[in-house]
Amino acid sequence: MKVEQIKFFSFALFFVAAVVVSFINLFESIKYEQKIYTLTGQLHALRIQNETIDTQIVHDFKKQNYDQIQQNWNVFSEEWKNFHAKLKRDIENQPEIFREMGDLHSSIDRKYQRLLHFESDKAVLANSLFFLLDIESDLRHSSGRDSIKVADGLGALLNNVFYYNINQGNLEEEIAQLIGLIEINQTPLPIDKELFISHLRMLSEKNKSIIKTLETIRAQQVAQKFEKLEGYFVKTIQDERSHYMIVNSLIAFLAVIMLAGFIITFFKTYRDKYKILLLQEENEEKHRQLMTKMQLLNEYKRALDESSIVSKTDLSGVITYVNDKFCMISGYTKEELLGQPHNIVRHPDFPAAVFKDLWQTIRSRQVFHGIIQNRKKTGEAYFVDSTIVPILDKEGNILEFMAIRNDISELIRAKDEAIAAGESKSVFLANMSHELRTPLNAIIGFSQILMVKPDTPPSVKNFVEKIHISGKSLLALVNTILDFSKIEAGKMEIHKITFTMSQLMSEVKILVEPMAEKKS
Amino acid sequence: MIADDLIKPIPLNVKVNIQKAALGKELFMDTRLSKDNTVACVSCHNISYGGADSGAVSIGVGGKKGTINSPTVFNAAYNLAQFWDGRAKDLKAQAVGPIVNPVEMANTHENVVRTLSKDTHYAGLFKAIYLKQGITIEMVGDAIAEFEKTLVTPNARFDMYLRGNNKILNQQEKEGYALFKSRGCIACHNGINIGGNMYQRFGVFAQYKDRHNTLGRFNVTGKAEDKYYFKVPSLRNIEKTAPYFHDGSAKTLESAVQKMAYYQLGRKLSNSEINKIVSFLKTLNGEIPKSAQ
Repeated sequence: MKVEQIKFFSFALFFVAAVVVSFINLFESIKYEQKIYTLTGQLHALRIQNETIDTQIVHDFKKQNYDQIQQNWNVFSEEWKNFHAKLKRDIENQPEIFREMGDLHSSIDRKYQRLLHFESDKAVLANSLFFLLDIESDLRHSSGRDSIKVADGLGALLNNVFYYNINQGNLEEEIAQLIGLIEINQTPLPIDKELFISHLRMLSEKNKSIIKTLETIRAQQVAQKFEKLEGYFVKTIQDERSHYMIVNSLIAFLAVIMLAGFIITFFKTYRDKYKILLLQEENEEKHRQLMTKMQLLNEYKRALDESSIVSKTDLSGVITYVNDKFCMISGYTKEELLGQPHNIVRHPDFPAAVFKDLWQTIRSRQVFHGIIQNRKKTGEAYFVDSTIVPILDKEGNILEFMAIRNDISELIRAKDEAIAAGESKSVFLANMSHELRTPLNAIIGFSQILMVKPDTPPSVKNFVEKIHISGKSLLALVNTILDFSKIEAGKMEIHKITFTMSQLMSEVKILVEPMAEKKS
Repeated sequence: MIADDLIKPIPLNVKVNIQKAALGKELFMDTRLSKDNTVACVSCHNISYGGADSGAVSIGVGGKKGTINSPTVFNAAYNLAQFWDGRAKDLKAQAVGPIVNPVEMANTHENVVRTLSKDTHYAGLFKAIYLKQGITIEMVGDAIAEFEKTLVTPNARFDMYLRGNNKILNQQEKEGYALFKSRGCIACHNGINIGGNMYQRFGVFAQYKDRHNTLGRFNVTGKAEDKYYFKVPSLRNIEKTAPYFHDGSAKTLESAVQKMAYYQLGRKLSNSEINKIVSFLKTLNGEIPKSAQ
């Protein structure tokens, strides 16, 4: 039951743990994804800002109020800084992203440094353009042929700058040509030639510088790096999702197993509990029956103990139990008997052969019946009608021996006395019939003589005849008594003889006549 | 080529955290920020004096002379970066810089924080504003920066002109503004601060070296191409912030305009042109902010 409980709770615990872990994983994942989403959104916003600034740099380059670009840049760099800090805080184990971030960060920094130069260069360029515009105007207002020629060249150059992008066309060449034109000019120009040339040179120099700046900015590939980084973010989200899916599928799988285990254990436990309940009831019923039987058995035992002398021995004949009657008859106490061999009560007169037979019988798992002569503590003998039963277990092995006896010493004594009495009766009868027959022979003989003697008067003759018949009846009686003795002694013999019925009847009449007359 | 919105007027209202700005003002005036309790921010950035001091260079603790002219604190919030070489990217970063400069306040940030923490008045104010126990140097910079945001000078006559009051400038000043644009000044001095939004090499058309050979932006970036580049200063309240340039070498506006034209613009300006431009520059004086009074 305890093991079941442990199983039960373990499964439940693991299931709950799996569910909790799964939820934590889910929440963590959502949180993480949310963070990356937010970061991706911010990154995208920064990318757009960067593009806006790029557009301003390239397309609004003729404007000279840099506040807007500066302001945009400041906002951009502040947000970039925050983004960077947030990224470091929120994202772990994304070396690719950090590498790209670092790269992008230095690219942005370089870009900004170049941007500052771009602005400076543009300002100087603008100044020179203003100057050259004035020069052109001055030249056009003068009348010299060369002046117009130079003004035309300068006008074309400025047109190129204004109407096309600064870095387009062969500006360098045009400037060089124009400078050549001015230097070989014969007629004096109505302008400061030196300043004119220095501004043209400045225009060329700054144009080159601006081209270089734009190239450097382009070479930083900030936009492309933003795109690449955004790609990494999207990939990170996908990775996180698939990672989450794998982990949660695994957890879900485990949870299902745990739940299954839990349910199985639950039903098993339930079933087992039910079984155990049934068994318990059964057991209790059996126990009750057993108790009843025990009670009965105890009663039987009591009855037995009340009626018989009971003892038990182990296989080697050592006494393990005696009842009160045993103690009473043997004169030993229980303490004296228990643990002693059973032959403590053996009478020396009792034949050893019987004991041998007794042990053979009971060891062969048979019940021994017999009368055994035992000896009391006092040495006095007593006789018991014994039944010795080998007690067997289910397999038929002898566990112990149980002896149930009844004291028949009185009976033995009575029998001996009866036998003695029978013997004296026979002696008496034999003696008596012998002693009776001797006088009877005299009576029967002499009465016969008297009957046949001719001198006997008829009246006397009648009397003598009666004496003779009575004498013979008495002899028959004595013989009958002797027959009884013979019957008792088993020596009775039956003889087949022929007799005459009338004679028998007249003899019976002689015997009973006087008595019948007397009673009338 | 020249758009009309190259210069914008200073907004009439600025949004600041009033409590924080008040704390910043106290700190701005507090000499305990310096090592020997003699110098406060206000010592060199005299807010009743154009937001800068009148010397070519400023005097720090123990009478030490700096190497550079103190830039005005007015409208500094609109600059792209702070200091002449732009080494502080914003006011917060700038505000705590001079504290540790040996020729300025010669103090340490730790010491300042310790001093301020001991003052129960400050401790209470910082806690009430930043909702955290303890003062950090970042908080000090933040509070001072917040105060400095209030140090803007709106309603210059030129700003009113930009807002449509055509009559507020006289002919001379209007011609000055036209020259300011046509002679190329505006190429660098533009935006809300009429400068302050870019770096420029000092000495475009001719080499310029100051006595200390200050290298400017190079000191920040370490790049040769940044040598002698300085932040273009704002021209607002320019009349009140003499002397001029990072080395304070120009005592008057006329001289400054003339030098700028020579070194930066590659031009020669006539005296009449210079005077007109100076007249225009003098229309850039704004109202001293209430917070500075």
